[in-house]
Amino acid sequence: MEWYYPFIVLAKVVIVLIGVSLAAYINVYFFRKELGRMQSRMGPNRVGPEGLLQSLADAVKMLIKEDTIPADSDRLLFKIGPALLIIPIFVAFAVVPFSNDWSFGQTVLHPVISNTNVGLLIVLALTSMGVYGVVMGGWASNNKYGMMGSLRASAQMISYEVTLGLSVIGVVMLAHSLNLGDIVEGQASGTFATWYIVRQFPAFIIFFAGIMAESARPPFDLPEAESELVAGYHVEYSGARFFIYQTAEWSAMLLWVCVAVILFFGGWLPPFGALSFIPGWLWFIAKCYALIFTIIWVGATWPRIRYDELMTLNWKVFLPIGIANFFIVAAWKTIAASLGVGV
Amino acid sequence: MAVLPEVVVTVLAMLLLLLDAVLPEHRKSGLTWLALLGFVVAGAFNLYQWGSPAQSAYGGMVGADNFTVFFNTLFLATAILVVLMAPAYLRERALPFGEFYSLLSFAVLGMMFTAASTDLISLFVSIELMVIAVYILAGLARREKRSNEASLKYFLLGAFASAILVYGMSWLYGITGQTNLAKIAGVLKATSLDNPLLLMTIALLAVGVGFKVALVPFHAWTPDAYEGAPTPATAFMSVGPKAAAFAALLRIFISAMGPAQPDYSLLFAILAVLTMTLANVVAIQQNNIKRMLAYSSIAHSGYILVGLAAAQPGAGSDQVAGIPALMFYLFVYTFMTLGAFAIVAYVQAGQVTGESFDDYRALGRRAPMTAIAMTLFMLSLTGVPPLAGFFGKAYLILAAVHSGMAWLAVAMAVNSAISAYYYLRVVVVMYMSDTTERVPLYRSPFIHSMLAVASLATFFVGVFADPFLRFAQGATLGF
Amino acid sequence: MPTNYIGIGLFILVGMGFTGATFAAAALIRPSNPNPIKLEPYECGVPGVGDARDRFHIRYYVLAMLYLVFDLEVVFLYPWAVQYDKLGLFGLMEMLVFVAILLIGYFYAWKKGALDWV
Repeated sequence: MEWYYPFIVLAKVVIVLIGVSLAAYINVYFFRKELGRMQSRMGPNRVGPEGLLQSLADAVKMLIKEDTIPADSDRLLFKIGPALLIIPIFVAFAVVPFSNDWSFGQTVLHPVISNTNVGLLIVLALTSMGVYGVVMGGWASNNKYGMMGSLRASAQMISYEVTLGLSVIGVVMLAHSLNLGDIVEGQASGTFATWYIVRQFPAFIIFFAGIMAESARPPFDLPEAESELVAGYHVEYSGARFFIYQTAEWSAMLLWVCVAVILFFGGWLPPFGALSFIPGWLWFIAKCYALIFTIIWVGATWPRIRYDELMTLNWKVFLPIGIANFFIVAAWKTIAASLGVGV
Repeated sequence: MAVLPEVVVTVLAMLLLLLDAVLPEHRKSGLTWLALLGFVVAGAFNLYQWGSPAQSAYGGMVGADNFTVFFNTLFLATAILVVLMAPAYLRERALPFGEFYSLLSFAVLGMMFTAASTDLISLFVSIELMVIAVYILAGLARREKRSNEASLKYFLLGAFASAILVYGMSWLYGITGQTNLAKIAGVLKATSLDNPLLLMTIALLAVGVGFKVALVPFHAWTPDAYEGAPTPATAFMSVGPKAAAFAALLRIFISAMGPAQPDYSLLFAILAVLTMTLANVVAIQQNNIKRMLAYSSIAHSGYILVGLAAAQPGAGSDQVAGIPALMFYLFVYTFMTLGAFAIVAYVQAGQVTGESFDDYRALGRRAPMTAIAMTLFMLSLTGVPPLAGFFGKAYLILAAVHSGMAWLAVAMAVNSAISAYYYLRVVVVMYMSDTTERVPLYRSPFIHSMLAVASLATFFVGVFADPFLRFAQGATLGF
Repeated sequence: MPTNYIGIGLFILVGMGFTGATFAAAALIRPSNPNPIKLEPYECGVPGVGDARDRFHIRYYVLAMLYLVFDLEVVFLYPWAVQYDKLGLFGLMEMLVFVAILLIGYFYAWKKGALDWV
């Protein structure tokens, strides 16, 4: 290890943090614009050209708002709740590889902060910690909507965490690794036919529903169902703390989209070998935004599902399919190995 | 297959769970036959292994030798007798059959693995499997407040005790660097014994297991838990987990910590005297027969503990050694206690409570055979010759004398005399008082056959004690 | 390699710094005029009744227990999945037994209505 290694890592960390925060704000704008178009509206169009600065204006507005902490609330938990949600989500970006290696002459730069061999496990572990922030926020505010919202949110998040974790077992078996970079390389063959979305389609459906439920996107946005819970667990939050909660939600969505692209869409790999002249990071971003577009599209199209439907879908549909899925992969691998066929 | 009996019980437990979920309500009483069949098959496989050379499985976590065969016999006999006594009570109180048998099987599985464990980790996991199933069994009558209270008290104190136990195990691991029991013994043999840390470990482990076997002063949960739990569950709790906890005591304190025996012998002797004295004195005050039997079971824990205090590791097959006496007493205790509780369940089955001494008035006239059986069990629990309880106590007293603790033997004899007061009180109530009440007693072939088996065992294990003592001696050869 | 985890440690520090800086910056520029009405918990404008930290439904506990069981199962599956090719048919059979035991519990919970949310 060179003496300057920590500084390179620190530089990467800062770049990723800024990139993620910026992307979260671009996503808000993107979301509002797309949703507006889907509902035959214009979306934001006053602040800056085409409303591009709307998110910035919102951020500044939130920072200068008064921070009210309700009486009888648990002040310490109320204050650290947002931080407990956002920090694990940020940290999970540390194991996400954004592109293939860049080489500048002799030096090779890895566009990943921590190239660990348990990357996927770290992502799942850290994102499951996010539920603490949600529960603490709702509990500490001593508000009935907040309490209900945090209960619902935690029940939904832990439920979908199970099937989410289960759905990627098949992918891990095909890739023989938990390292996210290795998982991408495992899909390389020149065409999109070996991407895991093709070979693990049921797993992708479960995973996709799981990431929408984990980041509380419609139609799985029950924790903050406006019509019944006002705003869910962050009813009492305002100002900077509300800003952090919002940033955390959008960053979580971005994180899950990045992980989905890595696990199922071949990360930075081009869909056809002929397109490999386009750099990997561009493919990565393009795939991410295609997925984000899809998520918003689904949210704009489907009405919010009922809570019992949400739970039934997870525990009675996704869970058996998820278990069957990895056993099919396992059985297929064993049969293929005994026949001497590659998988 | 070293663990074949355990595998049979595992399959049985899961089969019962599955059938409970799919069978219509009115056919669930058929599960009694399935449970009986399963335990009998497991028992057959188990006895078949007697005398075969010691085996180990799962990477040395679990062993199979005569010691496990002895305890598995005990556990499976307990299970069979409990299954026989349960249906009448369960049907009368509308308690779930499937869950009762399934939880019973899981508890028995935990007990079997407890006796078979040769590693601290598997020992702890097995104990937990056993007690968690028993916590739920205690609360099975969930519409009844006393049952809820029993379950919750048992759970809270049991969880606390488990924490202390596992903390003690971590100290033992810290001192020796091993989790395998035989290897721990090897390390302890090679090191000095006046290690204060070792005393701390002994204290923690003794407290942890002491809770499970209900030694004074760790017995506070016992009367409430025994009183509130459904009577067949109480019967099981008073025998099964207690025997398994004694198996764990033997595994920990003899297999692993045998070399430290001089350190803990006196501790257990004092605990034994405390336990039997306090329990016997308090039992006199009880008017509820289940509470009386609960204190009686605590007192018997004290008697059995004498065997451990008098144990001389290495002298395993000696006629008067502590460990065979302990195991023989456990064997005897199983039949007489289960029999006594079965009669409580039997008397309760047709009535609202049936727990007070008054409910036993004139039982000698209302149900002569039952009263004779109850008399037999009470006399045996007191220790009257020639019943099994007498020989059990005689061997324990001999072992205490033999190991130079005559005061312990005296304490035990005095306590037996005290206990006669409350045991014989039941007999007096049954034969020497009258009642105008004419509550019909429940008729169930299961409970009658169970009472027959328990009475015969109580009688014949006493009269022909020798083969059973040799069974216990053969099982301790491993130590 | 442990050096790989330097990034994660640094990211935790930087993430805490980011959050702390946001709070600190907001604390400097925002107004602060609390009054008792403003600090009441929001309840659609009517005076609040009772405490929010009330008892809640038992099924959340049931759900938490189910979660614990199945999430632990998933955790055991990861190392198995990575090493599956080396374990082969033996690994498949062992995992079938393990999952079958869990599925019996799952089936039982389903039949007893633990998965129903109404």
